[in-house]
Amino acid sequence: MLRVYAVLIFAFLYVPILTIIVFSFGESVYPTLPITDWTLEWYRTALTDSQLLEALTKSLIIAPLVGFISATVGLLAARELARREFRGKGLVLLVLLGPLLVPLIVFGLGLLLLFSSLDVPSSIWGAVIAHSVFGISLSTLILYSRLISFRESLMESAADLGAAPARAFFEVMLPLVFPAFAAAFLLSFTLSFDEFIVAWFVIGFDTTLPVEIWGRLRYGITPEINAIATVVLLVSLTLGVLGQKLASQRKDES
Amino acid sequence: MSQERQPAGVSLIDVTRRFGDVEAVKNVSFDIEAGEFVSLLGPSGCGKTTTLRMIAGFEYPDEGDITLDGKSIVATPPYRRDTSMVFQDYALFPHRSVAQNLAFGLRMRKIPKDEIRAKIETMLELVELPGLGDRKPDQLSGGQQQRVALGRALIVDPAVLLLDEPLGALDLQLRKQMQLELKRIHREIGITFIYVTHDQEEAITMSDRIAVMNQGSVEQIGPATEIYARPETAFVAEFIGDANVLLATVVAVGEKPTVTFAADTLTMEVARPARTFSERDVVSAVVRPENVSIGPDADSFDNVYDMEVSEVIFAGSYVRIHGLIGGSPLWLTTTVSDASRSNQVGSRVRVGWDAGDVVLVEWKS
Ligand SMILES: Nc1ncnc2c1ncn2[C@@H]1O[C@H](COP(=O)(O)OP(=O)(O)O)[C@@H](O)[C@H]1O
Ligand SMILES: [Mg+2]
Repeated sequence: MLRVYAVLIFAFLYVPILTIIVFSFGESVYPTLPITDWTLEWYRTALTDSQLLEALTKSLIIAPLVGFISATVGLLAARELARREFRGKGLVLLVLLGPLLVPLIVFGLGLLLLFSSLDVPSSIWGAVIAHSVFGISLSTLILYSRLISFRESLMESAADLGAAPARAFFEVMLPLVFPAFAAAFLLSFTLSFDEFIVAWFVIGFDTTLPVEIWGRLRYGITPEINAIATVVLLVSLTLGVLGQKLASQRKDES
Repeated sequence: MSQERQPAGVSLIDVTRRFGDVEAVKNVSFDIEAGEFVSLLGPSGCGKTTTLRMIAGFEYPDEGDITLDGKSIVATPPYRRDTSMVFQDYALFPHRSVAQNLAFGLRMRKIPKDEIRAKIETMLELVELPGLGDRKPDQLSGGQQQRVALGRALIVDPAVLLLDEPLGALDLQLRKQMQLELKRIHREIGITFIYVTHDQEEAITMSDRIAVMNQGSVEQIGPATEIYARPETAFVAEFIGDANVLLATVVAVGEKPTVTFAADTLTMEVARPARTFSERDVVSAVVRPENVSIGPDADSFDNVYDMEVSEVIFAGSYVRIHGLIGGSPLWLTTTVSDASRSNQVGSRVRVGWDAGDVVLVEWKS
């Protein structure tokens, strides 16, 4: 019985995704079953479509920036949170969760209003900033849960032995929290790479890959989109799983 | 080691450190001489670690000054202080090998690689860990980790070594062994050691001088023998060694100072107290249990009383006898043979001690 449930749940989760993957290899322009002829043609088309490639490039510029900004700011914030005890700390942690809980559409709209009232021109920086808000939230929480078990005496002994704060950070803290740092980077990267709604609001004429895909969908699903979606899926899935693995790595090593 | 560091003296001048409402360290002043081995001794929470951390630079004094070699260091960050610390949890870098841990401080000082290698070898010898340079800290026993922590702190030739209960995590046997070894190392390299412990025996075994701390203050500083013989407060008397602390009232000063005790029913002669008291002052009279004689011999002492024995406890090499004199509790220690001659529970015996064995200190309830 349990097995049946498990199968159903996995089917529910993965059949839509599998559908995209399967159709991306189908010869036919229209999504029809069963698929009679298989092809890699759509991948070739997708990867030579300059507009798609441009969108992909944008995403690949934005996502690592978001990953890096998020993980770095998250690390600094998490360190302060982890080593200080103060009243209202629980509240701060809760507020940090905020961006992850607010509906994206509301957040995107708010950001659009904010940017336009401040006359921030729409550009990829808008997306970088917008995605970093989520990324920092996520990264701070990931790194906080690592840093609460980090022994402050390690940093103190580094200082005691002559390491200035920056040196102690790179020699001692970063290597020790690197798995969590990498997890924060990868998950923020993935978050940005996949994200559509907020990007759509703030990005203007530049388009990220999800925005481009969405734009094309209005003219119908093409196998080319299935192909690019499959690529995105694999990238996100790989990074996401890797990030999760790193985030849940043994925390008892320092 | 190539350029031997001159040991440096450390002084605290009216140092106070608060955490919110807690005064962790209150108005502490002392001078530690270059090359001395001084222990900060006191119960948990009395401010030992905070004092040590202020010398290392991890805490700052809210008031007062700290000097190293006569020069104020409170504005110097820890990474530029000429002090080295052995942390209570050792704080070894878990991602680095023993050799890399030892090399850390030398790398920060930009010492050439081959010199670092040579120093590591010498240090591994000194702390008796030859051949273990490639191990990671988690592949070592607690005692070995302790030695690495010690070596890592010493290898940079500090002027002062600070140790925060470094043996606290070790079992008794190993602790005794390490105490002797730390003494040896102190003798060999001759730098100033400031050693935090809550274990009076450890402090007595190792230190040239002991600073006894209580509730953020240093109550007395001096050699163990002096602190033991001449405690300046009731707390010190009870913390170092064993003591009967009797509530007493001064009734005569001058040539033959005298106090009354046991609700003023008994009188006791005392030697001239270290500090001056006046008549009718309420004081603590400290009498060490091993200075109390029991049985017929007791009659030859300055102060002689009848004691009702309430408990006789065999404690291995000696016997503890508890009883009441004039309704006031008193205990003493005696040899097993002496004890067997006298004293059954409920019997009355003579006890006595010399005026010179009584120390008067201010009353503290
Ligand atoms: N960082 C801190 N924040 C708040 N209180 C502290 C801090 N460090 C020490 N204290 C307090 O100061 C007092 C002295 O602590 P400490 O110096 O660690 O004592 P000891 O080492 O003698 O056990 C204690 O009451 C302790 O709770
Ligand atoms: Mg302590």
